[in-house]
Amino acid sequence: MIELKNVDKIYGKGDGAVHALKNVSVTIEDGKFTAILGKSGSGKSTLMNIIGALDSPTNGTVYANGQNLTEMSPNALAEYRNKTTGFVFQSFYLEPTFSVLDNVAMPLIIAGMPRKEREEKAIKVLTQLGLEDKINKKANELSGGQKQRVSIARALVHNPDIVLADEPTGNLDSQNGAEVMALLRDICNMGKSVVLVTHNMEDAKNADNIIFIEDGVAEMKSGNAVNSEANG
Amino acid sequence: MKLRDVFKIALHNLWYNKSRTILTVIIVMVVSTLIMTLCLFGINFMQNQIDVNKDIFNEQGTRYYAYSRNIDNQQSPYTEEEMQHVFSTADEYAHIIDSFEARLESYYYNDPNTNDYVSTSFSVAFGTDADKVYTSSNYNTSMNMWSTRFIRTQMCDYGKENLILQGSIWSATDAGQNKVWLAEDYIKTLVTQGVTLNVGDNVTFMASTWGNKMDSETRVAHDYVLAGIFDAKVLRGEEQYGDTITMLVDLDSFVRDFSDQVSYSEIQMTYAPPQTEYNYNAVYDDMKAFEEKLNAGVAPNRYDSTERDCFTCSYVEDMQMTVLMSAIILAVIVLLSVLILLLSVGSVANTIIISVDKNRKFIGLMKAMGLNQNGVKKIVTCESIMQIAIGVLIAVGALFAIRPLIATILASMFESMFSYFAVEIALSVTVPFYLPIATILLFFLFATLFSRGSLGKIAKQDVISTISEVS
Ligand SMILES: Nc1ncnc2c1ncn2[C@@H]1O[C@H](COP(=O)(O)OP(=O)(O)OP(=O)(O)O)[C@@H](O)[C@H]1O
Ligand SMILES: [Mg+2]
Repeated sequence: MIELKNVDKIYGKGDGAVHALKNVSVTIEDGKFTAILGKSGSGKSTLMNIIGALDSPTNGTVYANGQNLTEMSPNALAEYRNKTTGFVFQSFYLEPTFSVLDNVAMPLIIAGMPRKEREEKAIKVLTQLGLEDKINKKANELSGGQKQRVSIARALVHNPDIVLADEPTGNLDSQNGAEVMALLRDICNMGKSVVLVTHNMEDAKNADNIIFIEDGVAEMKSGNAVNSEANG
Repeated sequence: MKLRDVFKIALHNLWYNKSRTILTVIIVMVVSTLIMTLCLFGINFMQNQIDVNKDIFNEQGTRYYAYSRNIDNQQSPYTEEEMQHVFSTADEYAHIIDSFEARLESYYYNDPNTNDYVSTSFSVAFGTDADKVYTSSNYNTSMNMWSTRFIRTQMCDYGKENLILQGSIWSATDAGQNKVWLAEDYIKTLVTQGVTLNVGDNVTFMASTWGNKMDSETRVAHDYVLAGIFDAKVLRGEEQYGDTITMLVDLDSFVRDFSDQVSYSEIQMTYAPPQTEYNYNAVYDDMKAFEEKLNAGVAPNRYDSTERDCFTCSYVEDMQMTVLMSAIILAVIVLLSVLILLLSVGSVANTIIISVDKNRKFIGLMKAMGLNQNGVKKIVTCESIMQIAIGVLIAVGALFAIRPLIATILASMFESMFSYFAVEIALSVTVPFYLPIATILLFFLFATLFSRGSLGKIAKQDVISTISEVS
């Protein structure tokens, strides 16, 4: 479980300062699908980065399973990310000249896992995602949908507790987008927490929890409540 | 992260930033070629100079010599005790001595009792006749101390096979046996004066000592046997300057017979190494030790309270001078190299940092996936080492190409430096294996020192600022 308590994020200083998050207190429940929903510039990515320990808040605290992330050293945070989190980005961030296999194995390479072991794991995940015939291709030889599936494989290969996806469908056509959404749902069904950043109501609909964010102010609701509200 | 993977990723980064990598490698290559050429020149100058010196030694051997000693402006002959020390030390080091000569001084003798100046002159008479006539006015029969060598040697061959024309040269059993050897040329001039000498004939030395105002004359005479006739040219070497040696006299006998008339003024020993393989280092160490031990038992020259050892081994002296000179040249070159390195390393460090910066995104991504600051540093360090190593290795190739040029320059330098010696200079220019390694290490050391700040910044950089999707 990840808990944000009274989190502020301010970019820059003085006149140019941007108050991207304002006194945000939200909880990411284990094994739940959480969507972060809001307009462009509302602070979605900022919030997700703080949840995923990519960034630290200006004020407030972040607890991950009782550990205070805001008090951890950079190296401890790196270790935390390497073990606990998996990221999926809108623009994939695959290393174009690495093979699919190496791209997927990257978190394990960083962890220092022996080659044989990590390649076995990567192949397993790629096979699960139907990419077994792309293993030795270079990342830049793939289509957008394939790329995003590879990056999802990379987010899963080290068996993290939580997968965070920032607009994963933003660069995909609707069919590929739907496939990726289904995959994320499956991942959640496997027991992992999933955090999805989106500005698309439709994508957020099936979430267990939805964090609405507007101008840095966040409000968290359960998905059921939202749906019944919409229906009622 | 495994070292292998660090290497793989670093290589990947370099490969996909080819233009940056090539630029860095070229800068490293140019600078290290410059530095290594300088060092190569210095090292090979030193090595070749030492080699040439060794060649000269093999060809010409060495001399151990002590000139007439001067203590506080006073001519000070070597004492009997000092000579005993010299003799026993020479016996100990007989294996590195071919010949032993002493020069005796007789002209002025300061009588310590009367404070009178007493002068002694020697004359020589030949034949077995009982009525010998000593004539110091006759040039040919006066004994010229400067053209006479008093010999004492263990090796006896003087290193020259064809020295002796008749009879045999000094051997250990001749010590104290009143023997004399004459130069063939000298014997020939005697013939023109009606004296014919053969080996076994008698030669008589007489010392006439004159009192202060020529008021008295004391005569001491001793008989010697002509033990051999030698070729003076062979003894001195045909092209050498200096005195022509007309007489060799057994030192022990003469000093015993004329102990009141002569004193030791100069000592000279020679040694030529064997023409076969021999242990150079052992011989060199022995020569040095010999010189030191000789000096330990002989009071030094003194002038204005500065002291200078009496004995010098010419080869050891040359070699020490050579090594010192080479070391100075080498030091200057190394200093120059470090200067060049310092001036250039800033730009090298910069291009390295820039090329790393081009990989910010990839590094940021890896950080998002848990790469820590050390991991970033490892990758960047690996990248810079590889660029430096490649640059230096190419430079080594260039160095091999430059070698003939360095050889030509060195050859002309040595030719002018050593033209005096008739030694064939076999020049070699080698690239020592430690040169590129040292260059790589130095480069890397300086590059890391220079780029530490920027490297730390890259390592610390927020993951977000490099990769995030924040708008
Ligand atoms: N590094 C930064 N420096 C300064 N301001 C920033 C920085 N990152 C984000 N911001 C500002 O913070 C606010 C929130 O940005 P954020 O990227 O979190 O929004 P978002 O909801 O993800 O938008 P989008 O839907 O366009 O991705 C915006 O006003 C943005 O301009
Ligand atoms: Mg965003």
